[in-house]
Amino acid sequence: MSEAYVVGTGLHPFGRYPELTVPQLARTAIWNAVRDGGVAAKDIDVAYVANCYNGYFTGQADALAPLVFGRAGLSGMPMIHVAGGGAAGSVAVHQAALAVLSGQYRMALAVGVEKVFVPGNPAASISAIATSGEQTTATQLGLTWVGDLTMSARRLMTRYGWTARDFAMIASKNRGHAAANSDAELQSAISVEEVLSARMVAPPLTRPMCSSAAVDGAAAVLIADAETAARIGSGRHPRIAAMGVVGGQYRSNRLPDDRPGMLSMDEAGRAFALAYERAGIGPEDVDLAQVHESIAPEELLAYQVMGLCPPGDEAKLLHSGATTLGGRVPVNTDGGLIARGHPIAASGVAQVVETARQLRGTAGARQVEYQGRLPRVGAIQNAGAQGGPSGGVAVSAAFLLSS
Amino acid sequence: MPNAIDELVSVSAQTGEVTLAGARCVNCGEVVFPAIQDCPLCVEPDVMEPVPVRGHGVLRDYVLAERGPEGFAVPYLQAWIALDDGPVIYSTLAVADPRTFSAERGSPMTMILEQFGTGDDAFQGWKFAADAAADV
Ligand SMILES: [Zn+2]
Repeated sequence: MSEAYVVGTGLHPFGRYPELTVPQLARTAIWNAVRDGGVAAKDIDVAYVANCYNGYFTGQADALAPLVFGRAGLSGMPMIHVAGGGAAGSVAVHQAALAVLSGQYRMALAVGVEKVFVPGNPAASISAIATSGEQTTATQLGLTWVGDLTMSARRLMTRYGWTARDFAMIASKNRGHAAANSDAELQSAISVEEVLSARMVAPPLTRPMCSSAAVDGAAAVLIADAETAARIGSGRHPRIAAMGVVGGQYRSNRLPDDRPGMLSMDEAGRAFALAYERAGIGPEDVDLAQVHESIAPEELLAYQVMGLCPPGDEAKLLHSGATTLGGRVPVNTDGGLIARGHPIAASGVAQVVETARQLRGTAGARQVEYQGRLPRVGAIQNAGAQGGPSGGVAVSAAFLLSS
Repeated sequence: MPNAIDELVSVSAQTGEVTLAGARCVNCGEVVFPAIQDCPLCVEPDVMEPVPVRGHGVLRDYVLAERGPEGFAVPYLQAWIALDDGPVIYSTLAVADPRTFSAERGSPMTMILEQFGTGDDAFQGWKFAADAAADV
């Protein structure tokens, strides 16, 4: 059975970089990953770039892969562009890992890069990310990601007893985590009271409870087969133990309307069932997790769909401190989408970067430890792009990495 | 400029009621909007026949949006409406004051047509208004 290992990780810090282009953001992350792995860049034999909005903003909709990799000085290997909203980065990682697992390639590069910040025009960023939803019947009539997700959150507050204070606790926790992350968009801690009293975005969500669309950044990982990984550095690298990847499933509109509607989570349970089965482990084995909380309520629902707690116990798990750094299963150790930042196609790759660094013990001030040992299993949840009759996401991904 | 939404809505000259271009599967009976030819439930090709879907339903979810895309005056209300004929669709809500609007889940709502956008980008889109407010 073939195996795939994460042998290099790199980032361009997330934030606002109006002076940099998409290829310039990408090259920093790519070369940081190459240096981190101590590998020869000439040994990369397939490369994937995830990006969603370069075409929207610049008109350069295609040929992005040869531009991104070529301007980073790389050539010769197949260069492939993938998209898919918030899941685009996971799509690139999935394809890169499959390429290695197939035995056809020895080392694959996956980079996610996005540039969405428009100086002085936050609505332009909202319009850009709206193109990851269906235009004719939804986004041109004003549907936004934050609006859609908050409608579901309001329904789930009734179902599970969640409160605005719970959402504020998620935001405050993740901002606290990012205070130890120099690559994060928001590196200042914020109290629960400050989150609650901040400007309203979509009641009951205030600004700090939501990730921002107006952010730029890039993330890259190098994935290698067992023989190649053994020759790199210490020879010990985090392994991709399993990937569970599914898409939104059409469901009859004559059945009871009981799905959460929290898009990134609707299919995550199916994705994790596949991943846990393939890895031969369960949620009790997970030592830390990175989840796709584009708004704070998504992290609460993630606890449930990943199997970290029974339905209805999400807030209890949060209040216990288990998901805070130092707790039993810290979630979003680098700040998550809310604080690390959410440059859409970069997010899924950044989740793998953080998980790999935690498993290697190179996460610095936010390193997770258990009674002196490093974490052994990291879980990643990600999803994105919406449209079509199912109203669901294009891709929902569950990755499990093990040391 | 033509907009793809133009093909999806029609208005009765007599009653002013808005009708949507939906489709029903001849195999399983599923009704979807917008109309397609292939059934997403029984996963068979060329089994959908055109069927009018009434622009009436009940409120499923709504939220006050304090931020929006370009061209949208904030705040405005975003909502999901469960149509009487089955499909669930997105709409903004036509109300006098979005900030004071309040309604129960399941409240009956009726579709109206309004202009969105300006100049060359203008198109006729839908909104929903609460039945009670629309004068019973
Ligand atoms: Zn059918």
